[in-house]
Amino acid sequence: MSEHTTNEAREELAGLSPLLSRIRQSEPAIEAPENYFRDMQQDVLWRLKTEQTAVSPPSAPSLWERLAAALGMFRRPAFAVGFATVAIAVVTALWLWLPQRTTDADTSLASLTEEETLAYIENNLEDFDTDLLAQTITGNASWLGTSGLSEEESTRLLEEMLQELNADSLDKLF
Amino acid sequence: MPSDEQILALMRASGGMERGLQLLMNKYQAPLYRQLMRMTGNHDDTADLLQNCFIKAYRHIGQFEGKSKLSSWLYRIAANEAITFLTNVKRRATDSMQAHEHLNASLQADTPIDGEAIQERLRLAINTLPDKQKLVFSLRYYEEMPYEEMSKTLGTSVGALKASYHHAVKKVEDFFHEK
Repeated sequence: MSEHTTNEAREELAGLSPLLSRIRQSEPAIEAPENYFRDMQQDVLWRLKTEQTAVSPPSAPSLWERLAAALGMFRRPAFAVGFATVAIAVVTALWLWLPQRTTDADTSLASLTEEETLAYIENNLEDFDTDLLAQTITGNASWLGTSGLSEEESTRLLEEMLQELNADSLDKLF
Repeated sequence: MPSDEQILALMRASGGMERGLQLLMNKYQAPLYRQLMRMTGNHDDTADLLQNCFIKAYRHIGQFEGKSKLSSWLYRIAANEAITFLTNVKRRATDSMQAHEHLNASLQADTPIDGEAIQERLRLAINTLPDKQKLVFSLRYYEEMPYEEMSKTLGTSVGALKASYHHAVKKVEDFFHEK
């Protein structure tokens, strides 16, 4: 401030409060420690650069960082409890759903006629186990009579089927 | 020593911000340090506040419209920093009592007032003022800033500033006479 301003301010203070005027005049000299300002400038510039770096957008996290973050999430009780609840719900739903599917399959098979079932077996004979075939033949001999085939045709078909069976299967069959 | 206009032009120029800030600090670090030391009374607090002061000046230099002097703008930033700091610091009552005893002895002897205890007492007294009065008192008492300049810096009329300062002086003096 200019000398004129200084005098004006000091005169004003002396008029308002002689005590504060004396205190003001007796104020000890204030000096900063040596090299303080040089260090202070470096600190200010460093702080500004650090803050600018912190403000810049962060690089995309690596796969490992994302995985670690996701796993770390489960250390929090709220997430752990939530995850456990969801897991229990999923398992329960599967348990309820799977028997339903089985029931559907059974219902679907039950809706087939005997002829359709046998026709399917005939067309996919290679897919069936010989034991199962033997049971089918022995347990359902009536199909030979209801298939609309003559006795000769039935005999020939049976012989063809027997030829495809191996010796072990024949032993089991008879 | 570069002028304020040169410093401002450099700080506002593309790529000249850092150099401009260094020149600003070179020019104003000593007077701002003294101002903050008077208000806080210790170097460590002053050091923190002075850094904050220059960082704020750096960030807000675009808002400085040039209606007041650059020095006044910086003194205001520093005073605000110190006031915020002092408001958050609760001085211990024992410090107050010690300063009071020193003051009484000095006043009765009618000798030059011994410094540090009195200055501490003065800081306590200033800290009892409302924030706006603190700011006005600090700028006028310590920096001897003209009312007209203060008016431009604070956006308050000269008359209101004078009234505020006179009230503040009265309160501070009353604080010294309290038992």
